[in-house]
Amino acid sequence: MENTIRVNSIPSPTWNWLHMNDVDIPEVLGKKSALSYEIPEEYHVSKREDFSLTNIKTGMGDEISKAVLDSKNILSMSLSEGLDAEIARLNFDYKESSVDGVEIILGKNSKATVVMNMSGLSDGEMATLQTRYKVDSGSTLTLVQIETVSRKSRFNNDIGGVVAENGDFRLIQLILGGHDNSYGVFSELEGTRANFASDVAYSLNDDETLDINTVSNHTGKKTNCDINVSGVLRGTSKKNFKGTIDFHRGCKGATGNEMESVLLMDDDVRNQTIPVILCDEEDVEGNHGASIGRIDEDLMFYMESRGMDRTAIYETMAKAFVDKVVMKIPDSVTREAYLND
Amino acid sequence: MKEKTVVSDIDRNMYDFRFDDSDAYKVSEGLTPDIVLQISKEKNDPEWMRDFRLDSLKKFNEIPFPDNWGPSIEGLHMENIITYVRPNANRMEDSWDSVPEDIKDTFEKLGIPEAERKSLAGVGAQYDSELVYHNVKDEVAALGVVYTDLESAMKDPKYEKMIKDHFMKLVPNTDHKFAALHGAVWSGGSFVYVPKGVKLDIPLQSYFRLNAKGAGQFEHTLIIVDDDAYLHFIEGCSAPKYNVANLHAGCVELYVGKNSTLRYSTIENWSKNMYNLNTKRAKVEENGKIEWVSGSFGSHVSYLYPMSVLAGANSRSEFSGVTFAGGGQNLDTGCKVVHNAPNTSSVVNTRSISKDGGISTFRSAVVITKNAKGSKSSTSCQSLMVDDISRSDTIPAMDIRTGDADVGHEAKIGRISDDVVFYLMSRGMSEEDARALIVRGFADNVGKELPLEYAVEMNNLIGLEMKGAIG
Repeated sequence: MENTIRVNSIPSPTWNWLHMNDVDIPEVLGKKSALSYEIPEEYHVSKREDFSLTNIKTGMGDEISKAVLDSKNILSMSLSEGLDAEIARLNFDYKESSVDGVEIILGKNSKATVVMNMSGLSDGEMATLQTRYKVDSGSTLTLVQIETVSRKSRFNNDIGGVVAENGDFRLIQLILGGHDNSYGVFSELEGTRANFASDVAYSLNDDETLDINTVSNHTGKKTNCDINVSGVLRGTSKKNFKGTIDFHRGCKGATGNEMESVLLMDDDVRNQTIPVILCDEEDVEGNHGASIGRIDEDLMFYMESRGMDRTAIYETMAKAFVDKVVMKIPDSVTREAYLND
Repeated sequence: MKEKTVVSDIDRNMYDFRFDDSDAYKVSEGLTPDIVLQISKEKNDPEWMRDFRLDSLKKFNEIPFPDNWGPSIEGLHMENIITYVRPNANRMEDSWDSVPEDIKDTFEKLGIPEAERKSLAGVGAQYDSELVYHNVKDEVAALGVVYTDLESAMKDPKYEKMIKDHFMKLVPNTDHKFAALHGAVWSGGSFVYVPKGVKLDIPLQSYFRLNAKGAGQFEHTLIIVDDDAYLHFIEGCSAPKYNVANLHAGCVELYVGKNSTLRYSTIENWSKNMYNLNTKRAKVEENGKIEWVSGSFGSHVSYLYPMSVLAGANSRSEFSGVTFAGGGQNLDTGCKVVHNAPNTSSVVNTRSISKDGGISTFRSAVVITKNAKGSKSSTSCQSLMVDDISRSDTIPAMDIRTGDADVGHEAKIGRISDDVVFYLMSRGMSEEDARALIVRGFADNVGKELPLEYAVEMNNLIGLEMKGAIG
């Protein structure tokens, strides 16, 4: 039996018989980097053997951090105070199992958009990417990740970082590839009015799997998060979404919202969802909503009355589930490419 | 002139009184095969039950404590728990006049005989490890309804097989560590059988009182509602407070037949030194319905998640719960629903309130299996933080294993709105009363499901807990 590591552990576990608290995945494969990039000159870019951002919690956890540090494939990109940079593009065209680390550091009152495209990989191979970020006060980081690796490979995508006062971290993820995917995000909102917005869309077919662990950790006052996850399950695919909003004592005025929509296309799919709100502070407001199932019968009737057959309706809705996240991509080139796909 | 309706606050002494238990029979502290055999002998168990107890003890020793989820139970030391206490009563009586004075006085204070006279079809009263009173109205018995203690029913040829076929089949002794403990040392509890076609308009009630210091209570409730029938069963529990840990690890098994409905209501008000590790489970057949109404107010630590297994097509489950965690309390409550037949449905509606440093956790699981095509589930959980030293968590899980299902979930955590408090104060209410009113309204999902007397008791408990909430 292959060696495994345990990742994506939920901060507040529940019954073990549900098998939802964490996931065991094969040990990380590969040592090489697959990164090529076009990064505007406003950034200071360096290749490093370790992260300058240390003591950062990530969604997937320490095992992934260890593998990335072992690889010594770390790209550091930083933007100085007050700069508003053009879009930075990082491409991971995987030829073999690979491991990469990226850190993005924004100075005060700066603004950055980073688009990561992950593609390639052969059958049975694995790619692992960890991104760490620091968003200083008044800054905005928009991170767009589009994953289209081979449908017969494994992809591990791990993110963690800190947002300072009035900082804003916006994450957009399209998960359109991979046979087995593990995604983790840990966003530390430590500054007053720090914000974390996450929009994730996925589409799984056949016996593909996806495990997501998203944590919004509120320690600063008046911090806010909006976590939106939507996706489509087909065949015998299986997805587990763990979303945690953690309000710590002292985060007065904080708010958090989590919404998940899942469209179940076939009889044998499996959807697991565990949306957690942890609340150690009185003066907060947390909300969660989930809608899991088939298309509402009223909507179905309406669309059928407009001449569409049921298959076409389901396919249209499935595309809409992904497109509503694509629409949020700020880069028009990328956005148009996927809207027309 | 219209008279104002006044609901007076209850006195905590209503629950927190105690009697000397020095003349009660007790087994030694701890849990050994000898103690289990001693209990079995005391009960005059049939052989199968004695073997089951010993097997359960073995399972208890094998199953580990849960170590990665739920509140800490470090303060619970099984070696200090007395698992069996027989009160100073000769046997179970069917007349309150025959019950020993101090025990009768206990239940009088709790209002049980009065409730029996006014609004119940039958009553069972357990004191420590034994039932001391059981009675059912003649007209109810005439319908064929059986409401008696489980132990004598188990030895009655009429019910022996029925009980053997159902006892700890829904909650096997392998289920978890405290189910195994229950299997080893269970004592007392009720057996109810509602025959086919009988619809009981007025409820039955069992009340469980744990008086002895450092003791455990392990009553077993087994209810079988046959096809086309209806039953409302009410369960109440309380204990005086001691400075050592007490343990409640009861077990409730409910079987709901085709086209039948069982409503199971609980107002739990254990003392705040109690570890309440109770297991409740219902199996519902075709077109049947289980309605759980649950108010959790007491205990130091609670693990309580009534479970519905929807085994028949079109069967339904409704769960309405309120949990109020005050200072020193860590109440981990919620429910589990397993949809295992086509077109089943479930509704979960809960409220949690945390105050004075109390911790409340709503934990749930909705599982829809491949067999449950066309099923629907809706969960709504709301939590209210009354002050800034308390904690409230919601941990709902959904596991949907078929594409042909609709599942909705919503959760909300927040505080009492200052604007609403201000409005009520502008109408002449004190801040304390305004906040208590808001909290009562917040818990209305359960209050409106209870018979009036119990809703009043619940509101009084909330009022009592809210006293001194300001400042």
